[in-house]
Amino acid sequence: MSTKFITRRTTLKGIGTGLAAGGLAMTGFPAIVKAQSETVKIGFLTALTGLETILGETQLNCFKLAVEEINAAGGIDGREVEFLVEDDQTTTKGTIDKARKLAFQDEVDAIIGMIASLEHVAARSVTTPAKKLLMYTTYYEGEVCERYFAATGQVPNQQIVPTTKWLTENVGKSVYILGSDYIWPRRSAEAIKNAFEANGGKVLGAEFFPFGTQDFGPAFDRIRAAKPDLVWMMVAGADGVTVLKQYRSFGLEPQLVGNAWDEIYSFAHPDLAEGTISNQAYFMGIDTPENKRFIEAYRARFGADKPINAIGEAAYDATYLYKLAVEKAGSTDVEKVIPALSQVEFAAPQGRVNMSAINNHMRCNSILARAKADGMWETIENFGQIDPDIPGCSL
Amino acid sequence: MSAQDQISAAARATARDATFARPKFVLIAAGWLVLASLPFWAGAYNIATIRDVLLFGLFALSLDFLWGRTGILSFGHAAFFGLGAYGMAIVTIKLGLDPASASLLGLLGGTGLAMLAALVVGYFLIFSGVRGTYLTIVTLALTVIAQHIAIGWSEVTGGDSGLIGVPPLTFELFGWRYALSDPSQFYWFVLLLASIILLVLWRVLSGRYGHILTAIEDNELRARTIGHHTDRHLLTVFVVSAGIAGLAGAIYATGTGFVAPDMIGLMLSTEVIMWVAVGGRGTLVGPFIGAFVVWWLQQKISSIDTKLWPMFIGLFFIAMVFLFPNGVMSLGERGRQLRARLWRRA
Repeated sequence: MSTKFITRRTTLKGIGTGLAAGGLAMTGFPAIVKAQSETVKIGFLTALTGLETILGETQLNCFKLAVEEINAAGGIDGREVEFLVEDDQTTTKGTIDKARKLAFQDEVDAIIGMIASLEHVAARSVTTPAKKLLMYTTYYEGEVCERYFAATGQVPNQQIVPTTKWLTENVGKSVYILGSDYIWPRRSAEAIKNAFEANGGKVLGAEFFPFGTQDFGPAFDRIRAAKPDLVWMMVAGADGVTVLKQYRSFGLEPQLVGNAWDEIYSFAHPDLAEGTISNQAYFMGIDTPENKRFIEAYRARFGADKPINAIGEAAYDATYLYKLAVEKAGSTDVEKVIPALSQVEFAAPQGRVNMSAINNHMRCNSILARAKADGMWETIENFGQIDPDIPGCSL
Repeated sequence: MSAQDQISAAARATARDATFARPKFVLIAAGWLVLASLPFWAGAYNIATIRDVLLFGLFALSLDFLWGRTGILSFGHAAFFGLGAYGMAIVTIKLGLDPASASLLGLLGGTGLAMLAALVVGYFLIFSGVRGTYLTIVTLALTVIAQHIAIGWSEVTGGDSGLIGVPPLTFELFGWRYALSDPSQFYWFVLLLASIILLVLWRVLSGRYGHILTAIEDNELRARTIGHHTDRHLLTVFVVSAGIAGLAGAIYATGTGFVAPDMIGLMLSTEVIMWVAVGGRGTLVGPFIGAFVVWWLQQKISSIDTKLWPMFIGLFFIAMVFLFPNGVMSLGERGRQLRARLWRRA
């Protein structure tokens, strides 16, 4: 995968900018020209190096596409959108440094992006006290309730709950959970357990593995003994490939379900992904004019056969929702934009979307799909938009 | 007082005068004044980031005290920094104490936790004669273990997403409460603390104790033969060094307001080694300069090219090692060396 990113051209470009940086450093780095008030300034902060690089790349492309489209159509209320891209390195220190830079030095109007939980935690430690709008575009545990934080990805009640209902009605009532050992799989496992029990189902076992686990055999033996109808996987990163390969070679029968599988994964490993079930707010296979146009524009800009996933599409939606909210508010003043966010709606590639006023989370769509041999996902059932539920949140 | 003592006292006095007259010290003093006046002319962004750089500099200083003076390279220093940060977070968030006493207890708890860990690990390693590369490898394991605990023990540490809600440093003396929530005051507090620790270490190391440590680094067996308890000295340095790292970590956590597993991890352990190496090992001021230079380069280059910047940072380190193996602090000497070489040739 990494070879795709460091081509000769990007290397040359990189060396060029490196030299330029050296040159600038020598001459004392001219202050970045202050943004004229005619432009709207958006900071894009995500993981472009580190663990989540492949996801960050797609997310950035979708954001760029949205900005370019908005500018081509006359900007936000006639104001051009200017954007700055920063790499948070998937570390807290990197995220804090860059969030500070965007908020205080570049004085952006909003910050969009981020993938891992630690990134939004670190970024919020800067943006919330500074009263900057932060838009997070990844499905996550869904536990943040803050005025200056908005999310356009799915939370458990939009993803796990409808999936479980369908599975218990159509596939089976017993499930075995395998996940990586960190917060997202552990919290999701709790949500899965609650959802299964609410539907008369049962969790037969849940196991969490440290990163870098090589042998899942013992767990598979236990699965074979437990005889579940379903195996729900939340094994992240490279381990996710290892676990699937071994699952296939063990010849286990239970239907595979996951809530992090998307096109980025299935395009890279179509043979492993085939037949698995996943739920996302967006799949490339959605048959709407908006989605067709979106995919065409993306491919024309970034290359054919490039996968787009739900995290990327959520970044695209976030950018448009921000545009519409600024237009509705008639200003980039964050205190006016935030209430306006829940008053606008956007015909997104995933379908119609808008924000909930009580928790600043998006009414995402919920699409259950099965991976095909070519890496695309075939919709099993589209549950449509679901109200996000953040327990105890009322903004 | 014998004649010899008088001579050496006089020699030391002239040496000290010479030390203060050296341009490097004038530069350092000027740099300190610039730092002290920062809140008057710099914006919120610079105050907050320079404050963090100072804290990382203090962290680097703690490693330099160990590595620069005893030759023991610790690959586990982030474990101590992280223990300080986590100690602070757990005391202030989980125990439900009054904010004023919680801050102070957090500082003590975090620093104490780091020192305790260093004492236990150091005792078994140093007193059983583990030295050099082996010691480095064990410290490497220490940081890996610490990170695993930080991620795995989620009821206490918050796991992967850490603990949120560390309050700003608050002190209460005789009913007079003082919260360092104002950025400038917090900044000055950090600057003052870092300066005091730097001065104390410099004072201690330029005296007899510094010579003992140098002797241990040169040849521990010989130092032991002439009667120094080398194990005890090394353990003391190790524990004090861990304490400073823990203190820096605890204060850092109050600045960010949260802790996360990568504040305790291997990545930070290697970064701190880079800061010391770039600044100049054994120079004490160097680690601060190293932390600043590396931070500044990372900030600038990563904003210019978000994808390839790690490559440039890597090239920079390689270039540093070739051109200035003793770090930024040796720029002057290195220049003189090169000039002398040219002079001889001419």
